[in-house]
Amino acid sequence: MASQDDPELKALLDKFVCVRRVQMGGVDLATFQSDPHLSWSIFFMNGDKTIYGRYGSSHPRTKRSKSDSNPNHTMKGLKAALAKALKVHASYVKDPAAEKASLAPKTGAAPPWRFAEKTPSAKKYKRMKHLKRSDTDTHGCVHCHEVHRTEIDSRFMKKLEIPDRLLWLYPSPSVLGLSFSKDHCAQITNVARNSPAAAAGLKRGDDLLALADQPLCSLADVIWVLHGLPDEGGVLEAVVSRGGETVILANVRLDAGWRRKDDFCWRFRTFGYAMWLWTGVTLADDPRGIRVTHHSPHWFKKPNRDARKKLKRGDIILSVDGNEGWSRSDYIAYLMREKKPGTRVKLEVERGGKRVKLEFTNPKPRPEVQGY
Amino acid sequence: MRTQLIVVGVLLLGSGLLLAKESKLKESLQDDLVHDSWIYEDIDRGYAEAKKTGKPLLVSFRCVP
Repeated sequence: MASQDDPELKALLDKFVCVRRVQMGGVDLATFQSDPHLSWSIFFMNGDKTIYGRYGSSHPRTKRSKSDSNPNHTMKGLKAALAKALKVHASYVKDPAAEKASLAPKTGAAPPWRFAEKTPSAKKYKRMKHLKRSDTDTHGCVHCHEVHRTEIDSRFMKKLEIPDRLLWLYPSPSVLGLSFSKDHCAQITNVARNSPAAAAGLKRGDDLLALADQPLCSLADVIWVLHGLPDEGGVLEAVVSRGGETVILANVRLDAGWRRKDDFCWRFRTFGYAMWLWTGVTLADDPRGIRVTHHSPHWFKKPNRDARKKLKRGDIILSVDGNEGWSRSDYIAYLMREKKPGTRVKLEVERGGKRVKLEFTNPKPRPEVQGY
Repeated sequence: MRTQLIVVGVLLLGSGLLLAKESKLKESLQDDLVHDSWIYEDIDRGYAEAKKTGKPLLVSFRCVP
C-alpha cells in the first residue's frame, strides 16, 4: 500500500489503527475468517473485535498482466471501502446496541480449529514446525488454504458428509447474477438476464448498501453474506441506493443447490490437485461439456492413472454416469462425495467429432498423505 | 529507585527488540512504502491501541509464499 505517495489514502489510513500480519500461527480463526485462497485481505473492526467489514476478493477471476498487478482491487475501491468502514465505525460508536444485530453476523461460526497450528494434519506440514521459531521468518507460515483443505480431508477420512459450503466456499456474486465495480464499495455493473438479482428488480448502477441487513464496505462483504447462506438457499434482503437518492428494498431468492452454479476448481491449491487425484487430468468448463486440457504433470505422484491413460487432451466429457450438463466442479464433487472408491465411472466423450464411451475406476485416494 | 530503573531498562530493551523485529520483517517483506505507524504482527497491541484512541482497527493479512 503506497500510502506515502497518496495523500488521500494516507489521510484515510491515519484514521485507523493499522496492523500488518504475515504469520497465521497464533491468529484467532474464530475472529478472522475470510476466503482462505486470498493472498491478501483486510479486516475493518472495532477494538472490541466487532467486525465492520472486509476488503479483498478473488472475483472476478481475471488473468494478471504486467501493468495490472492485482486485477481484483483498485486504489479507488480501497478508499471507498475505508470511507465506508469509518461510517460504520461512527454509527457503532454512537449506538453500539443498535448496530450490534447487523454486525454480529460478520463474525463467523466457531471453526473446527481455533488456530491453524492446531489442525490435525498440522504436524504433517514440515514448515509448521517452524511456526514459533521466529516472528520474522516468513517461511514459517501456515497457508490459509491448507486449513481449509485439512477440514475437507478430515471429513473425507472420517467418511463424514462434505457439505456444499466446504466445496463452493466464498461464492462469486455471479450466483446472484451480479457483477460489481472494482472502484466502489458494492456498485452493480451488470445484472444477468433471468438471474435471481434480475427477478428481484436490481439494476445496473445500483449501489448495494446492505445485504441480509449487513452493511457492505466492499465486494468481499457481499461474498461473506453469500458464504454464510445455508446450502438450502434463502431470501436475501437487499438495500439499494439508485441514482444516489432512492433507497429500495429488494428480496433476492436463492434456491437449494444455489452454490453449485459457481466454480471451485480455480482454487488450484486445493481443487486443482484434487482434480488430478480423482480424474488424472486438468479440466476446463466448455459450452459443450467439460474439456480435458492437460494430463496431470509427472511430478504429481498419485493421479488416477486409469482415467489419465484413457482420456486424451481435447476430449469433451459430455456425460458422467448418464448425467449431462455438468461443470467440472460438479464432476469433481460427484467423484469425491457420491461415487464409492473402486466403482466404475462411465463417461461419454466427444473425441475428434465422434462420441466415444469410456470407463475408469474411481480411485481410493488418501488425501492426507497426497501432499496436495 | 533501583527497582524502577530496572523496570525502565527492561521496558526500553523490550521496545528496542520489538522495533528491531518489526524493522527486520519490513526489510524481508520489502515493505518500505507502508506508513511508519503500522503495527507489525501484534494484533493484541492493535486492539489495545484502537480502544485507547477510539479509532477503528484495520488488520491486513498478507500471504508470504
